[in-house]
Amino acid sequence: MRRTFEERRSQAGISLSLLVLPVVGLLLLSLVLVTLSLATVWVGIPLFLGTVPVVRSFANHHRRLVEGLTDRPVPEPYLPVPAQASSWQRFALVMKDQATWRDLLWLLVNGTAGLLVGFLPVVLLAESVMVLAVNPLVFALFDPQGMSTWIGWIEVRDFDTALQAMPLGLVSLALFWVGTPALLGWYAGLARGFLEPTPQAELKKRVEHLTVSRSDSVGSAAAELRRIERDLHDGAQAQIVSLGMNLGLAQELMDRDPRTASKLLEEARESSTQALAELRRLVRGIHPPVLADRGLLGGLQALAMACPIPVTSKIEIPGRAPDPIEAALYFAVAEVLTNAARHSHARQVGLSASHAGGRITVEVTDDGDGGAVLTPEGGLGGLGRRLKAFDGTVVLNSPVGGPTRVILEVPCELS
Amino acid sequence: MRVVLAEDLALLRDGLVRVLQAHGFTVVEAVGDGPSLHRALLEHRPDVAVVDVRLPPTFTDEGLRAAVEARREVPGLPVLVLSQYVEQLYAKELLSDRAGGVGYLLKDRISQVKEFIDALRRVAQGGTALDPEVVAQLLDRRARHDPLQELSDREREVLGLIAQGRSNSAIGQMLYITEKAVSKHTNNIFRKLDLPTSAEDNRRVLAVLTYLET
Repeated sequence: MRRTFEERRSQAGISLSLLVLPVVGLLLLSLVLVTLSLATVWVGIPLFLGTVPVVRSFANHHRRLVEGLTDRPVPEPYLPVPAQASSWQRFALVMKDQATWRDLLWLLVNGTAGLLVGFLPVVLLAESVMVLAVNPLVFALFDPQGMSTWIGWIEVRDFDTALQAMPLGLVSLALFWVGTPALLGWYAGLARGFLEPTPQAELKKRVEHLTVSRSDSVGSAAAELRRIERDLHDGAQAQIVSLGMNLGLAQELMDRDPRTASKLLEEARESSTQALAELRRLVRGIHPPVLADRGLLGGLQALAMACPIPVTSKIEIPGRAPDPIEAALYFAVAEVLTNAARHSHARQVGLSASHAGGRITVEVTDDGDGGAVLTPEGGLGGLGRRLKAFDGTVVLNSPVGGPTRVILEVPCELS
Repeated sequence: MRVVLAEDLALLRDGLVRVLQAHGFTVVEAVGDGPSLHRALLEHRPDVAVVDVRLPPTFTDEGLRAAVEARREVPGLPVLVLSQYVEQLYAKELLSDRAGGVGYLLKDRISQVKEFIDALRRVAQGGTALDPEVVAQLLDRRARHDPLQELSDREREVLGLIAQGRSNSAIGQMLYITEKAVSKHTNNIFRKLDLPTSAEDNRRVLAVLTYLET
């Protein structure tokens, strides 16, 4: 009961705001139309561009309103406009964006239907307050002579008639009580139709995102291959070449100078050990063996064990994620832990990982100095890009003075 | 001494058989995958097993799992696990049954044949032989707050060598101190880690395990 009461109160507030906002919207619409008509003589273009953010934030306010009414998100439909674009390019982009025109159309619809939605509940509520409280009180306390109002078919001119009219007040209150949510629901549905991105716009956005993330991942894969090639060339390959040379020399010297030959053999053995160490280091950087063996669960446990700072971990991942996602998350966590160990002066690190709602969430917290930032060229920024290829996200929360919290999320199914 | 060997790559398997036979071991069976390793271990109950971590059919940590599994059925069955890489996590899992007789070495160590054979003998006698790389990873964590915090630098060094499976006299030689000084250090370590009085060998295993678990 109390909750319904609260709900009606906030709904009455929304209705009240809808008495004003649609009118503001209509004014905005006419302003936009004026600037557009001036665009033919160029001055209109900057003026029009000036109105765009106003219209969009006005529409966004209503998007939040509709979200509140329906408990479903209403994403912004606008195509991105590059910050460095010239006014002419921006104008062209905005004109080409369907969402611009849908906004304007919505201003018109809101100016009529929205006004009605604001009007009805407010009138009904005001009427009930008038009939149920104000009239009886006024006639009981002051009994003004010669004052009369019509409530429906009843003329209220003294306390008795005010009492007779009260059932009508109850009817209007009931109408307000039942009708307001329905009316606002209808309004929300209507507004959603205009304010939500069209399936087409959503596809377009998705395609753009995919184009960017694909070129990012192709680029980083190519860079990675180059790095591996270089590492092999300068490391293991060089060591095996020297090993071969030592063996060849040792073979030559075997009869003439067995002592030197044995020294060369010892060197050859050492090169083989070094070459192996080099290869191990390289393999860890490509796909850590523990990850291949045990998946993210074992990989994160191993990272927690190897961290120089004590790590309290709680890892609940009942299954295996796709290999590339496991690797991306593993390296991201490794980077976060390294940062914490190197820069934060933290004394305790918390590591938790779980799978729920179709996504893996990994959270790393430390009690260090804080003040960490995500820069595109920093290690964490690079991992953010890598996670982005899987529609993943990195959230960093690190106020100066700590604590630091990093949340990595990637949507995926476990097998 | 009777050895069961598990290694899937023929090249390495043959090499290992040659090294072992040259040093007086009898290879009773050499297998190439996890399930047959498990069977061979239970069937032959060898004096020591030499096991590659990565084996078919899964090509993950099959060998390690088979070894841990067999030790559950035959407690303390000595196993020396070989791998191309070492993980503290795996070392901990191998030691966690507290029965000793566990080795965990990088495959490259085989090239130092004498040391490898020594390590194998230590494992067969119920000792431990952790790869210096595992020990180095552990020493990296000196910033941590744990029971090891109470150990002095020297005691930490001694504990690292115990983890590799060195005897007191070997440790003394490596650190240029007397054997008596080493046993003073080891007693301090046992006391500081709060290890119960028991057979010396077992305490050494427990000390290493504490090392891994913190």
